[in-house]
Amino acid sequence: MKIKNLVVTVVFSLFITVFFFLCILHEPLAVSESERRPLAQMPEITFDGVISGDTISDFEDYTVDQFPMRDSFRKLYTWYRFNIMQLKDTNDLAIEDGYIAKVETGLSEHSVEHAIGKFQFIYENYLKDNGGKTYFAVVPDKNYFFSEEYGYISMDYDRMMEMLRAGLSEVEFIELFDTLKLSDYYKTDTHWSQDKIGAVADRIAEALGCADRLSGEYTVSELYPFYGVYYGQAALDLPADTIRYLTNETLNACTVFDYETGKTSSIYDLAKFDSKEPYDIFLSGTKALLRIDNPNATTDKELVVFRDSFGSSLTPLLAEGYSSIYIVDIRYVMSSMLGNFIDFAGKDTLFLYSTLVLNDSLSLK
Amino acid sequence: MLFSSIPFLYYFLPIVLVLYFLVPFRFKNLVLLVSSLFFYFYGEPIYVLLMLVSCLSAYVHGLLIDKFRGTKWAKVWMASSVVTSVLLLGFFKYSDFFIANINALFRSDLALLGIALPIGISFYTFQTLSYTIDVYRGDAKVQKSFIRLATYVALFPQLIAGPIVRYTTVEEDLTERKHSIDKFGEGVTRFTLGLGKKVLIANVLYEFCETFRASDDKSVVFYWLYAIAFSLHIYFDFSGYSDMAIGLGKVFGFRFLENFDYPYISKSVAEFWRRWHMSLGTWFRDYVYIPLGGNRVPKGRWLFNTLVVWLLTGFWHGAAWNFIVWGLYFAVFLVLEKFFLKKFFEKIPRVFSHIYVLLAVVISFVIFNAADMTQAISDIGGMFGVLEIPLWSKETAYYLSSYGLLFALSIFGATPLLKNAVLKLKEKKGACVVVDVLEPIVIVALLLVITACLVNGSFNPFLYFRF
Repeated sequence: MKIKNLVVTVVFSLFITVFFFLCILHEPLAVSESERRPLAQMPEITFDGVISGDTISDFEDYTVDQFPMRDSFRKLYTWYRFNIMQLKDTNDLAIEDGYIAKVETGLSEHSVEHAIGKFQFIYENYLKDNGGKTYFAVVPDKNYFFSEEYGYISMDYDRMMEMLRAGLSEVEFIELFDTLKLSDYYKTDTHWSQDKIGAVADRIAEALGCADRLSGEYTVSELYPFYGVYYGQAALDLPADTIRYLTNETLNACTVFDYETGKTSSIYDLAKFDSKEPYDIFLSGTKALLRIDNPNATTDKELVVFRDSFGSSLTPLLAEGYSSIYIVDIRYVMSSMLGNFIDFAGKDTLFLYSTLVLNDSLSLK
Repeated sequence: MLFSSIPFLYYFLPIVLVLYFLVPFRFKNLVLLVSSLFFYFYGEPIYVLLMLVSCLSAYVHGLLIDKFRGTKWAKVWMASSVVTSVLLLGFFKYSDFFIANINALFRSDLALLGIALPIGISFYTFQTLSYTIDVYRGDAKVQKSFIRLATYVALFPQLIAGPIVRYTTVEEDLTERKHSIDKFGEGVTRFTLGLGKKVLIANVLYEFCETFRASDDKSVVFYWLYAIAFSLHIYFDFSGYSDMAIGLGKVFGFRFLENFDYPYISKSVAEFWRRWHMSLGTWFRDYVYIPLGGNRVPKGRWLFNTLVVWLLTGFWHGAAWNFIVWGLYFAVFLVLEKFFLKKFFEKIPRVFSHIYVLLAVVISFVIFNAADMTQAISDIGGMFGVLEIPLWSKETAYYLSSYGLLFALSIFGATPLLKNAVLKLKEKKGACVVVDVLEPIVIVALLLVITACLVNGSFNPFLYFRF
């Protein structure tokens, strides 16, 4: 008998035995904090489930999701891929100088067409003859700048803009790409930082004609540490971000009415900082239909903003310019229902969508 | 159940190993059979019955052939066994292919049966066929124990993706086999290396292939990279699986024959097939090619025999035209080599014969991996600049730089250079100790990284399941 074989036998047997017991004894977790998702649970064993293969498939998911030290293994996986295999991205995420970016490559023309169809429906039904103006602004995702800076690939943004301009020829486009740079985005999250988007707000306000009503003076407050959505997905130990949010007298006085719950709150919901989505401090996160009311308004003009999550931090910066801003997220409310809640007459409308949502727009209703 | 899965590694395997080594020898086959049936049931709950029917058919036919040995009935029962096995395989694997082609040919509208392919049916059918034919020929003794025969057919290490283990190879092991720390140690080392080939190399190469398919920015070079990546993927995937099967077999005291022998260093297509999926090649040689007359026949007949064998080889891999074309494609090269190319390549430097084989094989795998012949033609067109695409693109550059190291390691790993280097080191006393010390460390490191990949839920299916 070779000593080496004895050692290999002992080591291998110990390895799988220890993990066998850890798997059996490991207390199942309900959610993964780092991945921000519920974890698969032990499936109920039924005859039909076993025969159809569903139980077994669910069991496979359970064993993977509930594997002991899952987060440590995910870190090892990412480390191995980046450092040993020298792959440039893992789980579609790339990391450079602390910036984590999703390497979006393919442009989904089908998705862009779907989005255009939804926006056209809204325009035709609510905006065409409402006496207001309609604007469209596209927020470039972080990879637009990241790919340029670090030599990664990206989707065909020119083609996307070309399609949007052709499909929405009646609306006025506001160019935002040149108002941003990589450092305007959080390092660990997909979003932009509110204190860095003054130029974006100015460009939009100018186009909307409300620039003279914005003071542009804010107090910056900080919340730390902020681990963005990419942090957990990347599964590497990287420095946290800081959320900086802007306040002034008017913003503090503004109220936010939630049509879903019927409750009124403020622009920043600081309690959300301790939730799974700290970025939700801006307008309380994902909401179908909100209305910001500005009691200090010097105008009776009202604005409707169709938006995704980027709009949560941008829209408050327009609040000084209007008496009310209606904020609609058609991922959570049917477009055809909007007439029941909003009187579009005389209101200007802004569509503010990120390239990420436009390239994956099937959730737009 | 996949070897490269958490349920197999950390639930099934520990339990089976403990049960297997705890019970006395007379129950070991039973433990293996029950665990193998559970292994199959886990992935194919209903089709486990089909496999048992296949085992029973082989068992009964073996007994009947033996009983009527020396009479014409022995041949009848052997033929009956072959017909039964081929019908089962034909029905479950090829029905829809034939129906679809009949519909296309006669413009009929016969409904497809939509039968899900039972995992591993091509492998275990060929094993049962080899058993009854060998019993008929007198090359193997009839197995009177159903448990032993079913253990041979269902043995989980080689059940779903080979190698195609001949009954004669394990005949003695089924009755009497030895277990030892050396066998266990060598077995788990081979198993872990195979698992590493599959999870750490093959899966990532397939990721590249998937990325290529999804890309809107293809180029001629990207097509070539895809073709090379898939050729390397299928080698590491399948040879990795064979390593795992051979390693596990050794753990349980069985000796399975090698299935791969660095096929990409071949200097002719004929040599490639002596090194690639050897258990399939020898199966067709012994049960189809030689019974047809082999090469000791006139040229015309030899040509016919070759075409039949390679048509069947292609068809065995899948019920689609691209697999048939893939098989016949190799037949063309084998014929050309016999009559012309072999002599030609003997006269020119060896490097050209290597290039020729690699080109032929890489293109063959493009046909192999295509969804259909239309895609195969399009992919080959892409490689040779027929499509309206650039020679080079931004995505090509990006993915080449990202996967460059993997390509280099894979190409290196597909040659015997590393193995030879380790063997040379082992010849030196001091270095041998270092290698022996490193081996357990490498095993643990591999298990950790493999587990990390599995936990991350990366792409993981075995390609050869569909055969």
